[in-house]
Amino acid sequence: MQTLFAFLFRNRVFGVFIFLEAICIWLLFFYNNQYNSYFFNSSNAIIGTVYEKANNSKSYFRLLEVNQSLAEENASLRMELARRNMDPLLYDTLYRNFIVIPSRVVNNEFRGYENYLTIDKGSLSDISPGMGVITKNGVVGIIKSVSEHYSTITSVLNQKVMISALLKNSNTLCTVQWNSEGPLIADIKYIPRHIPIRIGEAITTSGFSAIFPKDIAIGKLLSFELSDELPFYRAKIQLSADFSSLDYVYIIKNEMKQELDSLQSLL
Amino acid sequence: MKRINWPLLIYYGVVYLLLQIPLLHKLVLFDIAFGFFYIGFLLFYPLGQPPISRLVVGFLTGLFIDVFSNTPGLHAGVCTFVMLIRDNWLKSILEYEEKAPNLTLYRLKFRGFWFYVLPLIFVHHTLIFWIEYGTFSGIWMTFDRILASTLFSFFIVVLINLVIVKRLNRI
Repeated sequence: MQTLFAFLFRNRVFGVFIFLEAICIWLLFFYNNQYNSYFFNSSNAIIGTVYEKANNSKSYFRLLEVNQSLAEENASLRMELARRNMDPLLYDTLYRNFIVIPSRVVNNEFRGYENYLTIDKGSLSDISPGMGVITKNGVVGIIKSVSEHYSTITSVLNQKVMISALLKNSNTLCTVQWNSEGPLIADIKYIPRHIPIRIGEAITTSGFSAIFPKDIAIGKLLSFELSDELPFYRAKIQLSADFSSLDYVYIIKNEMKQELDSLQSLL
Repeated sequence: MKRINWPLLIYYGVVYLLLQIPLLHKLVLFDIAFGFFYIGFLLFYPLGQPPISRLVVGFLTGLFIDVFSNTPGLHAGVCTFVMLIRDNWLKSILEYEEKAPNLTLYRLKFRGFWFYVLPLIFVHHTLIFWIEYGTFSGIWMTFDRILASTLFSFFIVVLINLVIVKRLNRI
């Protein structure tokens, strides 16, 4: 026993080192549990505030650009409104269940291998983990964790995120996953080889997962190849959301999500 | 154990750590060189402190950065490792006597900088990018990032040293 204690005492520095590294490894590998991760990310209130201050000073210099993009969006919304007013038959009852919450990006990463965004709305604005986030151009990501005033988003530019997608022309279900090849390009997987595809084809959300509504743009087909041994195409898409200049995003709340999930879990 | 010069340590903390936070994802050259200059705080943490306190300082510093970059455990683990090897590396390289606990550019001379600061930054960045990439062979896939970021961070650390260290400290 004595020798054991002596041994432990002699190696105490290394012991502390191992202990600290064990904590780090625990954090590194079990971070994905979204209820666990509250303290160690930027949805934490203090850190969100720091990022917001930093972003405020930066965004002042980009006001012109932001105004322009908001004006463009206004125009397109007006057009949409006009079209809906003219044709009441276009009005789909299911679409009423999606509530859109606008929010501002206060921290944006797009150069790492697993990217996250922080926005300045949280649980007080009815946001909860698992909701989809879009911008006016396309899909941005999925809410990861939420504090009262801030939330973090797992960006589409994250190898862990897979998004259920649809090839517009043939209505083929497939999956979009990022491959860390830069903020504009992602892989598209599981397109069966008998489906004819062509470059430039639009890819949208499928609406099957109840996170995103149907027909939100994800990107355009950039290139594809079909090798003999694979059952699926190997293809890349160009993402339509520009992650390097995100200002305002919209969180999509699906009121029917619970109903749909509980129904599907019965299967 | 030497007494810590607290005002100087806080000054370093402000310059290396607080300044890093708003620049964490902004300080990027050509999309491959990332400036993680907060490592300077660890490299110039006073000498002659007990090893366990050194490890804890490394761990907390890394955790502080992690919280802001949404990578819990990554920087903390790597910083703890850097603090483990730091003093032994310095001793084996420079036969540095611990009379003066504060390391600066002028004490280390440029030779010391090349042999002490650059390799440790390289080790730190290699581990960071490798672990972040997530696969064993990833070290070759991100090697361009590692090299470019090492040089960039080293450059920034030298610049910060030239700005904040008084020349009078020269021996």
